[in-house]
Amino acid sequence: MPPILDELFRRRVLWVTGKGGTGKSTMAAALALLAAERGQRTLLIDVEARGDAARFLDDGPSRYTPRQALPNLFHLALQPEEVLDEYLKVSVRMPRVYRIGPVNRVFDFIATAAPGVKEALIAGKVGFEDRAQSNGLPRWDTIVVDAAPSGQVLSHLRGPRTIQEIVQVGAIRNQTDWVREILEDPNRTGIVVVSLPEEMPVQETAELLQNAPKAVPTPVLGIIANRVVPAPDPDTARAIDAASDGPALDAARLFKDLADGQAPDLERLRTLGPPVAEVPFFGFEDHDLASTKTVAGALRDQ
Amino acid sequence: MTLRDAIAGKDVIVVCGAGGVGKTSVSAAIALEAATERKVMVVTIDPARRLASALGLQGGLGHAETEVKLPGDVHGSLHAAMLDMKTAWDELVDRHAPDRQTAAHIKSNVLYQGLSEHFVGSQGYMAMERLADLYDQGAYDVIVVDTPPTRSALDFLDAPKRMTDFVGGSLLRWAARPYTAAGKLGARAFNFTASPFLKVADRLLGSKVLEDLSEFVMDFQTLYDGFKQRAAQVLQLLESDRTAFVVVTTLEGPPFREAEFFVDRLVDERLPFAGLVANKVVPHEFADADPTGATEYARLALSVLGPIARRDAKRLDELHHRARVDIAAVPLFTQDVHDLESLRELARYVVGGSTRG
Repeated sequence: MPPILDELFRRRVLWVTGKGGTGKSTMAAALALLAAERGQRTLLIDVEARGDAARFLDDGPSRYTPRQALPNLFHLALQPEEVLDEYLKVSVRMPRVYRIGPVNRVFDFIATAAPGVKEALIAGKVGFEDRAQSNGLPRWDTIVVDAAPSGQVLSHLRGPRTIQEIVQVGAIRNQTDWVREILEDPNRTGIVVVSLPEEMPVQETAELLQNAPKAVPTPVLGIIANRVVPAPDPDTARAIDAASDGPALDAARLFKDLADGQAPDLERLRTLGPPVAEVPFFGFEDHDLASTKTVAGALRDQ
Repeated sequence: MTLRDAIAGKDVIVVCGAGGVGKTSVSAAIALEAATERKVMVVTIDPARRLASALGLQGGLGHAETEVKLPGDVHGSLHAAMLDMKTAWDELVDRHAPDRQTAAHIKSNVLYQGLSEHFVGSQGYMAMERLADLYDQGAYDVIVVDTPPTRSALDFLDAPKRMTDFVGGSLLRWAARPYTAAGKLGARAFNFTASPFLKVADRLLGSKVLEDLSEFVMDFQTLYDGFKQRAAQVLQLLESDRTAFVVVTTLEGPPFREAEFFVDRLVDERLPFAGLVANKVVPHEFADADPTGATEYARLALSVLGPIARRDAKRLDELHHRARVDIAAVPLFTQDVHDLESLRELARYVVGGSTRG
């Protein structure tokens, strides 16, 4: 097992984030696949409820209850409304009649407007799954969270704290304590950032690394640089520059130019601090289990 | 017909699409192109540096309108502004509140502070509000709006309605009624037996949050007329032939599916849909290229670019059949847009380049 994956899988809960379009969901699915392959009972949680997580595993749509896609590998998707409903049902024991219609919509408003409530509910659900037991044993060995984009992930992780700043008393206040214990324990929970060797994704990764320590004690364990194009060796590079046209050479030249363009951004990613794993640029026509397995293989081979 | 023809003479260009497809760069490119002849404003919501660095605004871009220095023979001018959510909300409250005291009271409420950051569609609403504001000013010939990154590219279309529904909603008034009644009497003794909702809410949140909520609702009601009028005005502008919608997408799975959905919606609602920009397209020449005799590196390149080129060609066709508009295909660039020159190159593909149909 390579060091970076070792470091990741020492934690029970991994929050996988990244700028939109970097391949965050692919990486979350690939990491979940790797954990499951190692024999860990694994849950992949899609907090944005786009339902895309299932596509990466060739399974039916993720729902609010865990669904098994492969041996040891389960997935679920969170809709904020459902998290709120479950919370009101399980933790508050609110009768169903008050959980539908206008009352629910008012709570929905509070959850939207009051800072931290929605985020804390999502964080709370992750914590709830982390604590869940079956037959006296933890239900999951590893939870991989396909988390919010890098711009918002810290507010999710900070949700319980934000709530505590606003809600001074009441049941929510008390319940946020144990959620914080889980999410803020650096030996239990960590963040993985997916990036691309392009200016803006690298910039957003740098900002997340700068802001994270100020927001939460949860560590950034690693960076995954996705769609890395290999540079040609010097002889090949010279041949590419010298030769005449044709599709094969055009492809080689485009590839070389992409690699050249990526080089400084890749270099910058490497200087940010956390270890960087590189996943090559693959020619996938679409996302499915086969492409997830290819990406997982690349991560395993680091 | 190129996108240049489709947006010629329009006053408002709304650029939409999923996150990460290059929407901000495309907006800037459209604005730059239009600025050769006309006075153009481009409004972006994304963090300032993206647009700023591409436009050479080294000091960054703020909420205020800033002129971009354009070299060469230009008849028009280019201006840019960023949408800072906190400032936008404060301006909105200042504009619609009946008096300064009410405005200050709203702005000090803890729920207002949360709302201004988190309300679903808040960015979308503010983008539309800013658009209406700039349009009213009449200082620009063309306004290009880079729509906010939302969970769905559609959210901003619903934003004005959602906002007025929320502010005018009987729901909130109902929820806060026992409080507002007590509040008007100047009493702080709330009747927690008034409704099951309040009993539960009190157990969950404590009375301080509920007190903030009821005050917030009372204050916010005073903004309703202004909001409603503005939302109607914005929708009217968006539906008119003064406006052109441009959808930006890449041909990767999730953004592509979202673009299809969005195009259908624009057509269904008879909004002035002007064109599609397919970004980061892998050239078709790699689709069926023969790797025989090529170097190992070229074969590797073809093994990656070939399948993507085939996918892109297929999806461009699908989009074309669906949208029945021209598609500007922007090839995969090997470098990010980093200065005016590279922005101009992008603009050539976006507004005047290879189109289909």
